[in-house]
Amino acid sequence: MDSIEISGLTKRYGDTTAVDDLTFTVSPGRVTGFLGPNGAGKSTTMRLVLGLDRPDAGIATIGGTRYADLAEPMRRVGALLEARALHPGRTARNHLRYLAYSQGIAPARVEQMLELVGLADVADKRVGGFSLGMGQRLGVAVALLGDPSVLMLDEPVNGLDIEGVRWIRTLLRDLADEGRTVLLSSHLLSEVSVTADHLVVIRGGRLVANCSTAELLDRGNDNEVLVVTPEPDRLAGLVRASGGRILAVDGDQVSVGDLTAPRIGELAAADRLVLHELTPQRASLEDTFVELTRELSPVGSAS
Amino acid sequence: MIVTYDRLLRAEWTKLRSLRSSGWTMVAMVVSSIALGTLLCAVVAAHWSSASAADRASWDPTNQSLVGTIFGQLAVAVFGVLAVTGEYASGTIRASVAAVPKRTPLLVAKAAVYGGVALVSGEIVSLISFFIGQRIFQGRVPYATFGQPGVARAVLLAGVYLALICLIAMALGVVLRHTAGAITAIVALLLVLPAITAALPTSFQNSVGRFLPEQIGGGSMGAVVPEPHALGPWVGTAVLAGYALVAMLLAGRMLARRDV
Repeated sequence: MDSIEISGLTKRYGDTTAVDDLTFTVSPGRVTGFLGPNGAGKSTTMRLVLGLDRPDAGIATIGGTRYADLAEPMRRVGALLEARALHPGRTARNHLRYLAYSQGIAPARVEQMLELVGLADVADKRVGGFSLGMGQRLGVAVALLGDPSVLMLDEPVNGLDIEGVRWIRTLLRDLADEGRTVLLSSHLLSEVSVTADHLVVIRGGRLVANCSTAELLDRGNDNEVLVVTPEPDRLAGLVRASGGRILAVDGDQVSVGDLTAPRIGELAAADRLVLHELTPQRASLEDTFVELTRELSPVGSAS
Repeated sequence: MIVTYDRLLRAEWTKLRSLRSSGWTMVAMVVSSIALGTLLCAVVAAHWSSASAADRASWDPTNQSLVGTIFGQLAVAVFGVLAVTGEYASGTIRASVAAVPKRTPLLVAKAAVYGGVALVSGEIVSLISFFIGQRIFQGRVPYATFGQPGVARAVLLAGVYLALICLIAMALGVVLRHTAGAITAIVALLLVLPAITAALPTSFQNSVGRFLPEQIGGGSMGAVVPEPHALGPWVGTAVLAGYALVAMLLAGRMLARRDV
């Protein structure tokens, strides 16, 4: 199976550097989440891999070969791009058919894909009347048409309902388990953290993290504890005396750092301090992600 | 690469057939060109008695019967432009280029399929127009028969003219990437440029006018006796084919270099 190798990739549009010296590898057999805020350069990176845009520097290859040099590219790489690439006047079936012909793919495969993505009933309807979700399903059918070993999907769950989201997650999981290379982009960590084994995070076109999903989520566990007490000042004194930090005080609510919840409970009990509430605060995934994409220096090791 | 080309031709043929707009454009082209030609032939035949001696001397019934191609060239130009700009407007170009990342074969296949359809439609238009026109002239004004020297050549080259206009329009579509811009450009080339030339001194008209596509169509390719100052039929065909080739080479270069 092929991996996607991205090396020193750089793309500028006028004065804007959309992708800035980006290097990472997407390995087979797992789902790699490609994360970054909107405008981080995810779509541009995918367009560069597909040869739709020309890089100003660097190279992107599929199993060592540039996409443009692949003989039947859709049999090696299946892509769903964020921007619509369908003529509204053409039917779903005909859209798949002309692409199949161009790659020497049997028309029977078109029918299979229509079944797989659940569009068989509307295959002869013109795609101009399709909902966003139906368009996405057709895009997935296009990506899978050539039974490719590499899949690149740009924000695939956009416009899908909950059932659709679940369907696509299962599908991608299965494809990765078959040993394929799956790159899945999103601007929401929560969306890919369920599916992805590995995460590549970029910001401003630069790599900020390249690590396993578990590793990234662990970074979210800072030791902030929310304590509610009628005597916030006494609590603050106890906390400081034991090496903790007071992060914020708001009336009877105190945010404590550098001490665990059990430790704070013990300190309060030993000093007969009344506590009304004692809650460890786990930073949300999105907070972690937002914080991460604000960091300036790259973290994590290349794999 | 031979193997790939038959696939690409099939893909482009599927694209063409699966859009109603392309079929309707061609039907509209055929029907309205023939209708306009028929109408104008009837008008000329009706006014033959009042025609001047000079008009009668230069009377070319074949050329007259092909006059509908003036309209046909516009329809065929729209057909060619839309074949390309329709892909840009809808974003299909990204799917097409992802499927054929080398891009040049994509343009070659598209030009072959759309140019081929324009050629067949163009020949249908000129053959039907010719026979209807001569039928109208018969018994009223001097008319031509298909077997006369130069007649078959003029009728068939009128169809070739439409196919070459389609190719030039496609190339403009690739270069400009916008429907309105490309249609404006081809209309300027076919209609506005001749109008401007006509307003210039006669010597200039005679030396430059004959190189304009529209003049090559009416004065060289579709004429049994080339009009005064016009290029000969084969030279005219070669010049127009040269324009189409240069336009396509430029388009191919731009398509290969640009981001889509």
